Formats: sequence, structure tokens, C-alpha cells
Amino acid sequence: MESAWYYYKYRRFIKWLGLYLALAGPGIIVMVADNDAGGITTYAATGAKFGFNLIWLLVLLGPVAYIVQEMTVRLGAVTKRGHAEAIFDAFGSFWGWFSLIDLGILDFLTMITEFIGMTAALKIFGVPPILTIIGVSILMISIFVHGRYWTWEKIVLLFCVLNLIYIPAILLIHPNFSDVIKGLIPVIPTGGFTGDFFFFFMANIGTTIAPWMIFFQQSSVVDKGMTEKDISFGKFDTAVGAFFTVVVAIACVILTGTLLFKPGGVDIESAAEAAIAIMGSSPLVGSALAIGLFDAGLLGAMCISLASSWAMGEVFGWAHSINNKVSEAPMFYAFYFLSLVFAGLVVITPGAPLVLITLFVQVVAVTLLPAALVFLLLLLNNEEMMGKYKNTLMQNIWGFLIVFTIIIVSTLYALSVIFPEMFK
Amino acid sequence: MSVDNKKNDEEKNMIDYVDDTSEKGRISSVLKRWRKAVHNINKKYSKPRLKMTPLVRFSLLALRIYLIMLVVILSYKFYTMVR
Repeated sequence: MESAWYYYKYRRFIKWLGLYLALAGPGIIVMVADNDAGGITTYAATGAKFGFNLIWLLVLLGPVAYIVQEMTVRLGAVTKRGHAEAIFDAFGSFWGWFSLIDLGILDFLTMITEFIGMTAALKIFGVPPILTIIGVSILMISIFVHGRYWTWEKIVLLFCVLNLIYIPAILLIHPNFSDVIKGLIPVIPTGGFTGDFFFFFMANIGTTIAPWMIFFQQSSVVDKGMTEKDISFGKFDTAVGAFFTVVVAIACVILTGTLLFKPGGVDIESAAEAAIAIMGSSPLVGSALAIGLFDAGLLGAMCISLASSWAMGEVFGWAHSINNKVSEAPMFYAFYFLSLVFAGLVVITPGAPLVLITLFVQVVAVTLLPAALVFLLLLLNNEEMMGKYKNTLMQNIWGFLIVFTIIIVSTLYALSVIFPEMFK
Repeated sequence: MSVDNKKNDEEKNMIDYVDDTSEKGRISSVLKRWRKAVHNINKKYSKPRLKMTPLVRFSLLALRIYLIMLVVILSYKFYTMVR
């Protein structure tokens, strides 16, 4: 009798797992791609500057990312509209254009940072930047033009697995795990509230939640054809992704925190610089950091260019599904292609301030994030649109708390820029 | 100047003129198409589904202006660092 019960439970679990694997994708992809080239650079720089002292922040950012992204799952599954279209429809064209222009500029700048990361990573192995850009563009286009969302998603999930390369890498360096655990306790690092602290605080938030992620996941949910009954799977998928994004971020901080950090902090300008520095003492770990950086840039570029193309397609009324063939959605594919070309061109422009662009994109992205979050919260509170899937009181409290925290931190950082003496 | 040469020059000028107008024409037709698309989008979404009170609308606008101001400050820092 008991064995029959276990068998029944086992069958139910297998059925659930099968369903989950069919529906898994948007949540994991958006969260893992969130650890893009800029993200890896930010984590590497955080570890070198503050050691393990900001690990607690990364742990806190996991639930924050989940709270934000879970809302896009519900919104997409219920309205069957991408985020750009939902904003135009709900708030009118004035606010719609604002959001679309924000997204367009930020996505383009972020795309540049992805190419910066990829070219810097492969340069370590002797690949010239121009070759990286051409190769990556061909690879991305060939993955994209299959005409099937399913194929695209499963290929991208394979790249997501490669993003976990930092986990075996930390096992090779034998970090002091008691120090890592101490880093889980929220404390302000030695030096207190300095301009540097605010900068890294903001950059870490900016790399964990970004406006493109909201647009990407909602459009992805719609393109995949998820409905209200799939919301619980979508939420689980997002939670799994949030877990992995935090694990990868912490692993990256542990790497540079162990191998590069010295009391007083070490300034590194890019993850590639960190990889080169680490290669001297541990070639395998340095190579893992470089490979991870390339993969992160590739994932980010694939998702961000798609987020922009989806948003443009939704607003301009172009056919905009990956399930469409190139001939059926020429503008959608052309926009995707052109965003790759222009971002690549900026990277190979001589004298372009690439490292500064990488760090500042994260900060500007987080500064503009509250505007996107407020729209998201307003949409999720509309009963006519969301029905029983509208936000609960607790979800609203968390949502608005995130918005206010970001506004306050952005303001403090801006003050530290205007009055550098204030936070010394 | 011989008649033939004059005719050739006129033909060349005509070709330049046709090329110029076709190039300009193409650009202006693309611009017109985009303007029409934007106009259609504005028309399509002229009536927002969500009714916002003037206070909410003002708060959104104030937040937007404030955030843009912060971005300008950050851009200034970016510019000074690049220099």
C-alpha cells in the first residue's frame, strides 16, 4: 500500500518535472543573462575592492530580482502583451515613448558593454577584437534565425550552463569559507559611506535588476505562449534563475576577493584585467574567468538585442516572434541585426572609453530603473487588467520599498558626485 | 562649345538631378513612413486604458524629471573622467 503511494508521488513528480522542463526558460535565461559582461566586471571589481564584505548585498539582491521579475511573468501571462505594448496601452503614447526611448538607449549602451566584455575575454587567448565581433554576430544570427522559439531557448539554456563555470573555479582556489560566511552578515565595509561604496552598491543593484530584464521576460513569456495556468511554473522558473544568478555572482566575488583583494582594496577596471592578473598565479582559474566573461557577454547580447527587437516590434506593429521566419518578420530581424552591427562598431572605434562605459552603464541603468518599476507596479495593481493575479498588499510593499531604496541610493550617489567631500 | 558637348553636359546634369532627387526622395519617403508610423501609434494609444489622477500624473512626471537630472549629473562625471 505504502509503495503504491510512493509510486503515485513519484509519477506525479515526474509529470510535474516534465511540464516544468517544457515551460522552463524565460526565468532562468533572464536571470542568468543578467550576470552579463558588465555584471561579471562589477562582481570582479567588487571582490577586488571590498573582498567578501559585500556578499550580503548580493544575497539580498536575489529576492529583489525575483520580486521584480515574477511580476512580469504574471503580467505577460495574463495580458498576452509584451511590456512595451502594455505601457503604451495602459498609459498612452506620451509615457510609452519615454519608456521605449529609455529602453532603446540603455539597451544599446549595454550591448556595447557585452561586446567589450567578449572582445576583452577572447583577446586574452589571442583573438583579435574584429574577429570576435564578426564571429559572435554570425553565431548570434544563426541561433536566432531558426524560426522557432523553442530551438532558440534551448540553445541559450546551454550557454546558461556555461555561466556556472565560476563554481568549479572557486573549488580550485580553496577560499577561506569562514570568511565567506562572515560576508553574509550585513555590515558596511571599512571606510563607511564613501563615494566608492555608493558606486559599487548601485552598480551591483544595476547589474541584478535592469529595465531590459522587465521587457525581455514579459515578451518572452508572451512569445512562448504561456497562459494563466502556467504562472506557477513561470514563478518557479524565475526563482531557480534568481538562485543561480546569486550563486554565480557570489562565486565571482569569492574568486577576486580571494586572489586579488588586499586590505584597503584593489582597483581593477575590468573582469578581463582580473583574469589576466589571476592567470599569473593560477592559469586555469584565470582562463575560467575569461571564458565565463565571454559567455556572460554572449548571453547578455543575445537577450538584450532581443528585448529591444521585441519592444520595437510590439509598438510599431511589426511581426515580432522568434517563431516567425525572416521573410515573415523582416523588420524584427533587421532591427536585431543592426543593433549588433552598431554596438560592434563602437567597440572597434579607436580611443572609445570602453572601461568607463562598462561601469557607468550599470549606474545609469539603475538610476532609470525606478521609472520602469513604477509603471510595472501600476500595471500590476490594475484589477480590470490583472483580475485575481493583481499584486497583493505584501507584493506592493516590497515593490515600492525597492523603488524607494533605489531612488535614495541613486540620490546619495549623485550627491557624492556633486560634493565629493561629503562622503569621504 | 559644340552642340554634342552641350547635349552631353545637359544629359549629365539631368542624370545628377535625377540621382539627387531620387536619393532625397528615398530619404524623405523613409522619413514620411516613420512619421506616419509614429502618428498612427500616437493615434492608436491616444486613450490610455488606465485612468490616472492629476496627482499620479504629476508624480510620474516629477519622478521622470528627477531621474533624468540624476542621469545628467552622472553623465557629467563620465565626461570629466573621460577628459
